[in-house]
Amino acid sequence: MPFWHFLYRCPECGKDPVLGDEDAVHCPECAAAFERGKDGAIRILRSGHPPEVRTAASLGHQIEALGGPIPRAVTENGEVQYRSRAVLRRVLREVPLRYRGKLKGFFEVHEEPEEGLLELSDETLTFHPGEGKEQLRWSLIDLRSIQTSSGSVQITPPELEAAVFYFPEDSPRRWEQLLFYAVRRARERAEEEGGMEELQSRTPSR
Amino acid sequence: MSLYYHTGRLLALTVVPVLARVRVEDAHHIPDQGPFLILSNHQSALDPLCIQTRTRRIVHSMTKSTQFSKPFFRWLLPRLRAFPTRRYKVDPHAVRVTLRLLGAGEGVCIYAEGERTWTGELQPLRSGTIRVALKAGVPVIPCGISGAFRSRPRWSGTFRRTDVLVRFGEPIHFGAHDDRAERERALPGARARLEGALRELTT
Repeated sequence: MPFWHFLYRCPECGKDPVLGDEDAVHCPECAAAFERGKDGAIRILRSGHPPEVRTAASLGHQIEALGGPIPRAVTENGEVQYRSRAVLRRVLREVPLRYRGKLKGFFEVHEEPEEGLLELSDETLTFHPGEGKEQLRWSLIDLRSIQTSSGSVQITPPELEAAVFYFPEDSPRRWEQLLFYAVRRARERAEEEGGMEELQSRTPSR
Repeated sequence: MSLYYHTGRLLALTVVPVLARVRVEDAHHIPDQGPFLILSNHQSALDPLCIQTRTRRIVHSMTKSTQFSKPFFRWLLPRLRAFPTRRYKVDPHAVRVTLRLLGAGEGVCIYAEGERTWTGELQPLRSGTIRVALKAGVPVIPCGISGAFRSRPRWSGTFRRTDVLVRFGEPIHFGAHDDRAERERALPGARARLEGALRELTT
């Protein structure tokens, strides 16, 4: 997973997006460069300054303090508006996994990847596939789970087992945080009862 | 029959030292017999190897279902006592398998945060996992892994050899909460206790 999936925004000056490759990120605004240092720490290189070593946690918190992905995704009117190129893989079916005659669980089989554009607004999440294909639109308050899985974001919309999005030019962490934010707002507007503790499937235990 | 498991463990015991210097503390908290549920933090892809190679007992691991999508892993993982959970939905079958294994006196490991950390810090624990612990009523052994994040953070493609410390905490006995309402009442306290234990066990 490339480094910019984590540092999708400059923790120093807040520039969003940054330029990045597999192991380093550069800020086009303040010219700071970030690279993986020793022991999972991150080295910050600034022209004319000695390198500084920081933990991933501290830089993550710094990005959160700057508003994370929200400032770039929210317009002056306070509306959420964000889109990225995305590759969708829908879960086609779930297959039982047996071992020594016992059912161990289920795993999913995906459809062929579909390229398109994923667009987030105040109320909906829309996937625009290529020409001639029908777009998919889901109300945010109908999403039942959102989470990152390796380099992708998995969501559970109505009518689908699950949809997995890969972002060739964007960060799945950004999208996860943004979706949490937008869903929370949409639920507040809809005056859904109860707070949103976690947007993950509740696992029944009886 | 656990030939594959033990062969895999021997292989991992030769591979893991190349990737990390693993030290284990207080593995004696894992009972010699009877069921136990390990609830661990999740720092890197090394974690299952660290836990399964350093415990005397066989440990079944709840593993995300996407890991089973490739035929090779679909063949291998069940032999290494991994079973799938679909994280994108309610997966009662994963709960059933967990309870069945525990009911048969086996050991199960669940990564309580539900995914690897992005920053090295402990993430909120998933409510579903705590509910399973409350339902099961078996000794819950918190396990804190430190240093694996430094070896290979989620956002990096390469391993670097570092020190990894795996610490097992004292078993927590929540007791069996068969009634759903009772489980819901016990949930906040159990969450706080587990989070506290995992924070203490990680450096």
